[in-house]
Amino acid sequence: MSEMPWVLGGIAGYSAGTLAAWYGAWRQRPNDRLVLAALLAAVTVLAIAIGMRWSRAGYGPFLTLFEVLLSNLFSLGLIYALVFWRMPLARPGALVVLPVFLLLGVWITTVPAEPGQLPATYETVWLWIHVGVGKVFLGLCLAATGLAAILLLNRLLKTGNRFTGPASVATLDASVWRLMSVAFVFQSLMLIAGAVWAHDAWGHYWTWDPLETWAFITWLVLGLSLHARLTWQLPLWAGWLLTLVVFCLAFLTFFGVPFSSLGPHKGVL
Amino acid sequence: MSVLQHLSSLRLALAGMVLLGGGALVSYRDPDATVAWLVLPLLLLAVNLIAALLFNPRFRRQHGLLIFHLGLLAVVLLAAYGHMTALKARVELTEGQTFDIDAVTVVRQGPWHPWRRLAAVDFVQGPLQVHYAAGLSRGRTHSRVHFPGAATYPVEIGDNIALKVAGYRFHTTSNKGYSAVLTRADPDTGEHRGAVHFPSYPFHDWKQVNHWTGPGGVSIDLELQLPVPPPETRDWVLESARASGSLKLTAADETVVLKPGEQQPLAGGSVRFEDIRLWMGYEVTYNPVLPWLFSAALVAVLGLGWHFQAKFRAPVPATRSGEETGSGVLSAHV
Ligand code: HEM
Repeated sequence: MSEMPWVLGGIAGYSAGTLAAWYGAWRQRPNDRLVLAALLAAVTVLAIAIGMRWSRAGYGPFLTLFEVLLSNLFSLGLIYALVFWRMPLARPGALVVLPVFLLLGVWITTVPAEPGQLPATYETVWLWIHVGVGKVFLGLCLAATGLAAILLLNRLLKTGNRFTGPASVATLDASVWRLMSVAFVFQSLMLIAGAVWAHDAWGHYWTWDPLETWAFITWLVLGLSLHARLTWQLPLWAGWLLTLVVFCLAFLTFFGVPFSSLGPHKGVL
Repeated sequence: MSVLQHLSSLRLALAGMVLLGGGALVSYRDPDATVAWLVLPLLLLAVNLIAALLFNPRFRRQHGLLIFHLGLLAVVLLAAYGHMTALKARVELTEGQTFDIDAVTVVRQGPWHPWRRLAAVDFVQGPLQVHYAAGLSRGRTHSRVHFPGAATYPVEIGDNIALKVAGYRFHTTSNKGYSAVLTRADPDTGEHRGAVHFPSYPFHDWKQVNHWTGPGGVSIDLELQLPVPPPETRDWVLESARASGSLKLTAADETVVLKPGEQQPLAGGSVRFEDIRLWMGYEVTYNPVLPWLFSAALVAVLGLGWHFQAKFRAPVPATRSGEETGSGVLSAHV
């Protein structure tokens, strides 16, 4: 049986969350509980979709663009739900994060859903470690980016604290960078695990193939951003913009590069 | 301010990172670009970091951060040492063949590579099996190797599991195919047995041809004729036990087709087509620093985790003076 109805159910959950978040912002009365409930509902339904897909394809959601989008719709949602629950300061970012989920949701409906054949080199625990820490990185980066984008929006539209509530800009800014800092730790782990896996699979730990190059550049730009904040008196908006740049690079590295190049990372047969 | 103090500037670190990012892009766009694109920015960063360690007391006070940056330095130095001692090479081995250092093709060799180690490597290629799913989709590779004279069992390698001997790793690759084992009888030099490798299979299934020097130095064109093409619509296993076919020999204007076991007299001697086997193309690597590199990277990340953990234990600032910039408050919180 196809997993598609469950995927659509997950997208519906994210749509409900988006509506709840924006309606709350418009009324200046955040619907945090509703947003969290919608997130959790979406994540649960998407977990079922992944399970069904897994049993149909015979392997985990790691290979095709459809599978990677599906697994990220689930894992980014789960990580964001945790951040949303445990870090109230990050909640205004939901206004941007949930629409990003919707974007992924629309995208997944347009890509072919046929399973592929999992290369033998994917049968390793390093796949799980690499992909797992990578998802935590992207999830935290997305949470930071959502908050940074809302802070930028407030600044651009001169809406004061309309979308962010009573917390001071300094507090929110510090939250953005906390999330980015922890994301940096997980991103570093992702690079290490990837190098170990590459060495096991192909005998070399780093070859500057497209995926490795873009992952490294993303890591470097994030390291550079953390430094730039400490070194220069960067205006706050510039820091938020840097967060957006890092996320865009990471997004391209995750969802663009592996599917546009025929590198060994695709497991050429 | 001394030169060293200038060298410790954090602005230089930023410049170094931008240069390193540029160097990475150059290496990616042009794989033949000189390593200087990466080495020079890394050198600049290393000097900058060492100077900062000496002259930046704030840096030294934050132990987690210190461990992280020292770890980064260790990673760069270890990677450089690894580059100098590493070997990257290829070798093709036919079932039944003993590893032979003369068959190795070097791809890249560090100037400090200890060659004598590879000369000591001794193993025999056993049976090979490569699984395919419909659509010529390669699945698992099984390669058995054993060690002559040693009291050890054969080992099975393939895909993520490399053969590890004398510090070298032998990785199976997608490059593998059929070989014809031939015995050349030459009145002057006697009998000599060897294997001719045909192009990678099934990738080049349509051109299973090669040249061979027969008895008396005669050049012979060989073509392996396989009766069935690789199945595209079902699962199958590439293995020599299931291989059948014949060998077409063309020397001067004369062509003969031999079945396994058949012999053909030729000018200057004779040739016997023994059987069809498989050969495996291995990627051979040597890099003595890998466990150290892994440990240094891991320690670096743990240091960073510790740093952030300590830094974030402090409460998030509720207000801040000069709200427009990002540096002051954070520094106060590290
Ligand atoms: C090679 C020259 C480098 C030097 C001299 C250097 C120096 C420093 C110093 C002094 C700090 C502490 C600043 C403060 O507390 O105000 C710092 C923090 C940091 N550096 Fe570096 N660094 C270098 C390279 C790198 C690289 C290549 C990365 C990673 C891409 C990196 C990532 C970080 C991070 C994540 C922090 C912590 C930021 C924070 O606490 O928010 N550094 N560095």
